[in-house]
Amino acid sequence: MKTPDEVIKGADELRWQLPQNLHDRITESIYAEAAAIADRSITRPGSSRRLAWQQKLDRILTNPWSAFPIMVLVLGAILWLTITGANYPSRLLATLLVDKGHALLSGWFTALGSPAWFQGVVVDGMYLATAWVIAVMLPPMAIFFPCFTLLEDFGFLPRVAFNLDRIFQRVGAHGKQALTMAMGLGCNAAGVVATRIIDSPRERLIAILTNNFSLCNGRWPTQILMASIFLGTLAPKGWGTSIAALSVLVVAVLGFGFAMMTSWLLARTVLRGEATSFSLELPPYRPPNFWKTLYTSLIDRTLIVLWRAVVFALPAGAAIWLSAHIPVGDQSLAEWFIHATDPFAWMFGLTGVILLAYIVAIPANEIVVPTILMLTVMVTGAGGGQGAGVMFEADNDAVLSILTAGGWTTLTAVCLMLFSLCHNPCSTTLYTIYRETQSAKWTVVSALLPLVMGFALCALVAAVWRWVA
Amino acid sequence: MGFFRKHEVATTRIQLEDALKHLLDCDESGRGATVESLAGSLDRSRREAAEILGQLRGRGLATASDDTHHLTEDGRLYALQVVRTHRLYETWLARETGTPPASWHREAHRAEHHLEAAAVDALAARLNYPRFDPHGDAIPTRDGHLPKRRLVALASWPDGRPARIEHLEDEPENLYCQIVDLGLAPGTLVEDSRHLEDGSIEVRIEGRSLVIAASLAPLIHVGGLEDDDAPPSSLARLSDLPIGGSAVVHELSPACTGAERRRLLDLGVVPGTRIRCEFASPFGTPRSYLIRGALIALRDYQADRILTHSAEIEKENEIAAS
Repeated sequence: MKTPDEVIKGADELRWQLPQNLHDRITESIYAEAAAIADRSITRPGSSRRLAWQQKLDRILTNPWSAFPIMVLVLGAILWLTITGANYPSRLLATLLVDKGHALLSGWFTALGSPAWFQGVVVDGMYLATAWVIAVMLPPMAIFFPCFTLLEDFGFLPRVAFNLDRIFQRVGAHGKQALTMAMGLGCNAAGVVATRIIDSPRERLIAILTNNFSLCNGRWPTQILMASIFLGTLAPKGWGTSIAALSVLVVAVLGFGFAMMTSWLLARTVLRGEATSFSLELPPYRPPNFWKTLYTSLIDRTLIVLWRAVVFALPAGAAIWLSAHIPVGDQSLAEWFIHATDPFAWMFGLTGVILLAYIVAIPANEIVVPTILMLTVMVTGAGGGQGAGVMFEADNDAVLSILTAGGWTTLTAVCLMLFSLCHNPCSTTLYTIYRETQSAKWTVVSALLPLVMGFALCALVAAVWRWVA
Repeated sequence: MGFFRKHEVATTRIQLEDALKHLLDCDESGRGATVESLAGSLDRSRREAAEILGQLRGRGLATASDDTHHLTEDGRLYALQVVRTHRLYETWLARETGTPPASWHREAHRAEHHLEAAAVDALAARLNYPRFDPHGDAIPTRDGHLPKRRLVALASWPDGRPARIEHLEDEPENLYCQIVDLGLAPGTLVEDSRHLEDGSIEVRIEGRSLVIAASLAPLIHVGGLEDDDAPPSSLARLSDLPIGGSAVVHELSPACTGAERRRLLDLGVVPGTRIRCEFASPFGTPRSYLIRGALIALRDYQADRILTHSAEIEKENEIAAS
């Protein structure tokens, strides 16, 4: 008879005699046994080989010669469809909400005899900012997201991630980041949500922190406007549009480069120790369920993002109006700020107006240009002073004359384009980043990282530009 | 640890614990620690080393006879707890974080002096009371039980006899990094080995031939195979599979650990699974594999870690050729 203590001691000693990889072998055999039971009990109709047409399609979509042209064509087609397709509904919404709705509301408030400041805050501030965001944001998203989801359902997007993975592997990221970055071209907040498809924590965090380098829908108009009125006009006659388009493309590609560079830096420094594992399934091609996709992408992506934007745009509208109308001494708050920051902004090739616009327009990039116009008119009195204190848009020639009166040069436009690419994400995106990472630290990093890069880049460009000129 | 009062300077604790580990090392190898050996090991002056030894004696953790110092029973238990913390921490780093192997030792060395006993026990429970750390070193139990093992260096292993790697020396760090870069890990099967004239050893590991430099061979310790662990006739890696070929999985390489290993098992990459390579991405990696009816993309470094029966590859090729 052995005492319990002896048995335990004996077991302790035997424990060391087991093979070192025992644990792995047991796990493997459990998995293997489970697989064997499944194989015995399940019969699959037909052959286990993949369908011939699926194989053929895969070969075309992943062939070095055909893969890249197809991917560029599809992305180009979606962007073209979004930009041209959104034009008409955007204009309609702008007429309805901004022109007619604003006038109507102003009329009502005046008729009810409300105080001027109250009407200013509510109608000229909150309502106008929100209307603007909806008019500019809603149509492109309602086109872009369903297109994207359809391609995803069909099985095309996983092949894109597959094709591009090598590039992302180089910088320590995941191939699926290509998809979240493409999604970021529509809206960074949606791009950040889309990083859920990346299941390893480190790569997902990298994708979240670098998504802002995809030029979103709200920033394209700024880029296109600056490129057309400042850079396009520099080009020889007839080449203006091409030069403008090319320079916007250069900025977008620069954004891709920055995203890669930042991913590389993050993967090698602060995120070095995070757990990582790669996995990517290539699902079989199947016809997408059109109506269901349309419905879910409208509800899940478009409306949620729009709702968040509206929630943030309301207070921003009030802040914009108030900053332009609260007098401090003989000037408004906005004017004080602009004059105080002008010398500082000069170092970066920017102006105080731009800095203020980016501060008050944190909720949505869509209202940056209207805010800049409003502030410039207010400070310079250009354009007859009409529109001072109220956001507005104008045709290209009018914008050019207003901005030139505000002291803008080609350098200002170039720096604004770079700063528009490289600055903190909008508040909707920041909030989404916080929701997804559950970390205030990473939210702050995602805001400061591009901001610091943007200031550095603008300072460099401005210094070189002035030295050469 | 009741040996130290809280207000004591942390650096003192670190020095004393490092000294205890040195004494344990010397006791295990039967050398006996001297002031000189401790000064060398801690990179301190003789005077400082002598002072530390004096403190250990004062606390009843070490005794001196002639010039050499030995641990008392208390000292041995304490030293084993430090070692236990270090090795458990390394195991945790390997299994649950993405920390690269090269930094395991350094990070564990930093952590071993700061973890409380309760935290160490919790760590052991969380890791399911592992017996060996990722280098193949045995982890002392809470009661200070540590088996004595006789390690055979690869350098003195007879040619041609299959073996498994049991332990890798993790210092010096640069040499250990070279071993990791070769894809070796405790548990790796050495199918064949042959001493070359310059002292290096040519081995066949996981379907590849590689030459292990003479400087690395003493750091690699091996043991014979268990009876039920007969090596398959020949192994290949999934990454060697030509496009259109298929092979049956033998096992996952021991070098594949943590989240990576779990992920592959979850996908159904288990012994006996047949995998077919379908097509490659335009850059060559990743490649797509048909695993249990699903098309999965794996990067080359992952496919390198999946070991298959190579005979199956040839058979499949013949079918494809005919």
